[in-house]
Amino acid sequence: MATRPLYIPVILGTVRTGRMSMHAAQLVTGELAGRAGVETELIDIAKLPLPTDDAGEAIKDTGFSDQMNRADALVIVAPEYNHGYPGLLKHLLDSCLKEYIHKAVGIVGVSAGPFGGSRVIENLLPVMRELGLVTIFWDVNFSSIQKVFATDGKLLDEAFIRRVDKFLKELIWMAKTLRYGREQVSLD
Amino acid sequence: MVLAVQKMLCPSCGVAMNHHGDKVIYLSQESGGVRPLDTMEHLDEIHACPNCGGMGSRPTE
Repeated sequence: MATRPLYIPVILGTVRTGRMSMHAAQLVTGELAGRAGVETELIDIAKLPLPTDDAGEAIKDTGFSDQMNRADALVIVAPEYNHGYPGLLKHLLDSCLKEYIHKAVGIVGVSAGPFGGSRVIENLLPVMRELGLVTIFWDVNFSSIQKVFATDGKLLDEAFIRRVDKFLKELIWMAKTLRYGREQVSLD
Repeated sequence: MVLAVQKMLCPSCGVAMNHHGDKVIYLSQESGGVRPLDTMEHLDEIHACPNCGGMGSRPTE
């Protein structure tokens, strides 16, 4: 099997001012960065050009497309807004298509309430499937996010280190497996 | 009978790529300025390079 490092970027799926999801995304990115054989970076959708006068692949950003082509897996950090995902996250995801096929994805849900973004995760699953991504069966649920992180981003609940570890182990296994499949197992 | 298909070569390193998936691509195209948009679709093969991990695609034959 190839020894190239896995590339697993983390997409922060909200542009909202004061977003606590940033802290969750930074935690996951940091935990990924500490793993041997994995390269990662945080993709903040607030820093991407996202025109709203068109949609789909017509607004494809070359840099984001290159990142998705290179990616072996994705982590999506999605806050739950009114039981759904942020519109701009969907707008961004829709700008690519072939880039995602047979790549792993893990979803981190974030909410201020008690359900930890479980509804946003459920709502994203059919979208992931249609994009060609392969979801893992571990999630991370940051409920009452304001109690998990201090406003300066300090983690207040160390239990999340273990939860993120479990999640990333599963994601990396799936990323390795799907890379092997993409590169070695023929559809023909 | 299975037809022999030319392997797609990696645009980055030239190695023969692996065909691992197909994807229906929907294209919207204005038809003489008349709306609603006509919808077309075709099937693309998705390929990956076992050497560098590069990706490629082409319409199915």
